[in-house]
Amino acid sequence: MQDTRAVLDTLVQSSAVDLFHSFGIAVAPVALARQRAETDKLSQFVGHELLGSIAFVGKGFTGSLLLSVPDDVFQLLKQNPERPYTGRDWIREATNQMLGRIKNRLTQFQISIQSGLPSTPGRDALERLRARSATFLVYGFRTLRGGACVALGGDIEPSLFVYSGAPLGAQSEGDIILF
Amino acid sequence: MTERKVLIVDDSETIRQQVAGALEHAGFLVVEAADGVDGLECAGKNDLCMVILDVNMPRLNGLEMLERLKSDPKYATLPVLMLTTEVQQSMIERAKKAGARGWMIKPVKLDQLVSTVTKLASSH
Repeated sequence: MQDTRAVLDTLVQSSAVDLFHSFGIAVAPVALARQRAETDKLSQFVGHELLGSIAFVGKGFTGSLLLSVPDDVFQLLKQNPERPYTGRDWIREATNQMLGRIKNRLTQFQISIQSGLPSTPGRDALERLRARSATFLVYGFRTLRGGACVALGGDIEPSLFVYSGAPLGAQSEGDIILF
Repeated sequence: MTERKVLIVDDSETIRQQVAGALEHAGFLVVEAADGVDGLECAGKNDLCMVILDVNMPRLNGLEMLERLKSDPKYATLPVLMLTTEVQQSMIERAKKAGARGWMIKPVKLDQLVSTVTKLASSH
């Protein structure tokens, strides 16, 4: 059980590091021991931060993923001044891409998930999410402008993970397949 | 020179702004839609050389929009590039079967996207 939990930890952490790297933002995972102490504490997701949420469903489980990023980190993004976008929309898209990376990595474990549409939940929606999920696994990351968090909630059973030995997805993020 | 107009359909304003900015810089005109319903309407009102299409969107998703678009003979040769986080082989096959010309997995590499759009649009 511990091994499969470690697999999930690695999978989420590597997905987040790669995601932020794609935005040109350096992040470092917070030590695992500290993360586990924070499990089920979602209060840190309510504050002056950008917060995105996305639901997912797989064979035999459902869940949701939350991504929280300080507004100061969003300000680090290089935007085209003629084509600006809001932090609220960016966090929705970042949450969508975060789940996309996790989905791609899960194919190595013969797990297929379908995602919903990303949203930016308010306090009430966050409380409903907490009520639906007995436990959230919370992963912290340090950035130059404060801490970012990823939380994974639901009834995901790590024993579902069966490593197939397949390479990481048939395709990787950023690939273009021409028909 | 004939204007080259690209339709980008994505419910993310962030993606639309990033892609539109890069394509405009490369000399394309860009029209935008936030879901498949608006995307079909936009396609009907514009003379397009290319469509870039997200998959997961409200109201009408990208695969459904693609299938409806390609069921109209006048769009048979219009190149469509799917742009999504999805990597499921069944979805990729469905898009290919419906007539898409390619599948790009987010995050968007803008230089790669522009060169692909340039190549596909020139074939239309």
